[in-house]
Amino acid sequence: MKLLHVIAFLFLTASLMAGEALPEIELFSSVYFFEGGVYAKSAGSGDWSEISQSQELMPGDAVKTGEDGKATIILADSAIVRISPLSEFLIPENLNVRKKISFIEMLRGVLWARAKKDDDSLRVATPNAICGVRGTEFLVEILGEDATEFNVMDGVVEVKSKDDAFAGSLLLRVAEGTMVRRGRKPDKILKNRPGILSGRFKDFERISPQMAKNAAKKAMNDLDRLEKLLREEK
Amino acid sequence: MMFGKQIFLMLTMILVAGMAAETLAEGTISDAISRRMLLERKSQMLKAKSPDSPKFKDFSMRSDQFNSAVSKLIEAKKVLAAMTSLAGWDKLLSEWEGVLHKILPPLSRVNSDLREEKNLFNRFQFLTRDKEFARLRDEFIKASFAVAEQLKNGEDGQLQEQIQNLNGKKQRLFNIYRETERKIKRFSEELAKIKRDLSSGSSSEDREKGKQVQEVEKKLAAGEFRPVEDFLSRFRMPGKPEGRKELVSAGGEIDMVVRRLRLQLGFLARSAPEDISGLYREALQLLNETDRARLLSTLPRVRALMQQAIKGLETESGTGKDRVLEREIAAYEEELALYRQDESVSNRPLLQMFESRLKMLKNLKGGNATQLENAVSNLDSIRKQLSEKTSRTADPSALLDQLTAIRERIANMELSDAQAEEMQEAMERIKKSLRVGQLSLSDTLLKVLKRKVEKIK
Repeated sequence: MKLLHVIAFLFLTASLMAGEALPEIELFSSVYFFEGGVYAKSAGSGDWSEISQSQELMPGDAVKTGEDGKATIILADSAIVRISPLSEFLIPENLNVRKKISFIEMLRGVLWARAKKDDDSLRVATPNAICGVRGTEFLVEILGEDATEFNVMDGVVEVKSKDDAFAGSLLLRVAEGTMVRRGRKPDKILKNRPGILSGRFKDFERISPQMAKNAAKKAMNDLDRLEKLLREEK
Repeated sequence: MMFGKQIFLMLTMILVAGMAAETLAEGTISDAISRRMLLERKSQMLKAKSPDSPKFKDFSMRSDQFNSAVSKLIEAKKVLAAMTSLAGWDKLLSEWEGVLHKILPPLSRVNSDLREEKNLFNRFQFLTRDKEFARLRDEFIKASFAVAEQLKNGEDGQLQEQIQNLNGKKQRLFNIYRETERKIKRFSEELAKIKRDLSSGSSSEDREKGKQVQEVEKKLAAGEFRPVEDFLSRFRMPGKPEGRKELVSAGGEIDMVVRRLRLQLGFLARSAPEDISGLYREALQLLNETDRARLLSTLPRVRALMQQAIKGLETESGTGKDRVLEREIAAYEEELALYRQDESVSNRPLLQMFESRLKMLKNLKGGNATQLENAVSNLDSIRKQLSEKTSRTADPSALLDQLTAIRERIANMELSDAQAEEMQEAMERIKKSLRVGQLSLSDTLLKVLKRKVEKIK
């Protein structure tokens, strides 16, 4: 065991000699929008708690949605992530500080992401696959432990299997997708009708009619109160 | 000779390590390197910035001790490592990768916690006057060191527990920082507003008040909130150039209500359809008015915009809802036809129940949202049971094959926008059932989709 640490430290010490400048990193991701049951958990803690609007999330925190939950999270590096019901992922830690790469670990469900344009800073790992993003809009769906589907709406995404036997990667462009299956080489590119997947997420932040009605009613009450206060003051 | 052999082995080790590093999981080694660099840099920064602070001195000392211990360890074991047989390298490196995965996340966490804590502490050093805060901070730093110590010694038995402990302390500490941040922001905004109002006046009274505001700003920067609060509750400016007066607490409430209203309208604007969100945005714009008299005169327009938005929302949700419902009903009917053909479920009470609930759903068109949601969820639950009772056995791998095949087929078909959308929705349903492990239902839905494709063809 000690020898293993020694080997690790050999590499770590070598890094000190390199002495490259480190970029500044934003620390917080934040909740932009949510509806229904959406929960967050601090890294290392066992308790899930309901998230709140604009809540700040730390790298390594987990976020999950219930059957009726959905959320939009703005990551620290400005990428936007939307998660559908029954999804779970970890807020990325900037694993590679020098290259400033955010690494999302997705555990289940559906995740839509928009990375910064022409930027190679976002990676998403699912139980059986991994993708690197070269801008900008893509969709990842975990269809059980052995299959993940990737679809690209904009930009280019490089997809590869976590299976050691299949070392190569697949480049997906606009309106292309693929399903990565355990034990199979990810080589099939599937076509999508352009725009059809983006459309699915167009109204993502739209709240249910009931919720909209409640929020509008609350705003109306506040408007009444404001008018009364201003008149009194006058 | 022996020395030569050692050098040869050392060189080989470095070469092999380099090659093996390339083949390791992407990013692992560079990630380790980056993290270690960050820790080292942080220590240097702390030393450079606040060399006299006992806390930072302590951190720097421990960091130096850590590095020196590592160097000694490396020196002492170098020869031993070099003597390890080449055949063992693969195994060692793969084990090492496992160790790194275990060590790096907590190390990163401790690192980023300390880095952030330091940033916040530099901004709010005045908080140490609060005994409870000082105690919490001491505990947090001690807990961080305890974690670092364990990592250093390679003792990971209680690491998880220690990290939980650290997180709990961090959360309490950071809550105080956040609360302080919010308070300072709120007070600064109010003071800036008062200053703006005063800048238009030229009386000696205005100048006197201006001086008072400057004093209060200094107190705010020093974290003395009580005098700031007292000042703000006594001096609230209504924004009228002539006849300013000291305001009672109503001024505070007006600001609070405006803030709340702005937040609500912002949320509504973000979540409403485009044409409606424009109305909310316009209302939001009107609430930017800082002059109270003018603000009051714009309120009727704000009200009209909000009422228009609510009306628009009702119409929009009505048509949208019906469109979605029609598609849902069509999909259920396709499924029903399939179940009727399946001998294992035909004429069963469950099937009859499905039929009657579907009929109910059809009658609910144009009904209220709650009734519709209940009816759909009822139908879904029966559908799940029904699907599980079919004679088909579903293999997930085969289902995925079928899904891919049908997707390819659809991609090659000439479809109208509406048809393409319908197909997409059907595939979404299949994927959803696959995700939650409802394989029989996926199978049924796949069959429904195939029939649909056949029909269009």
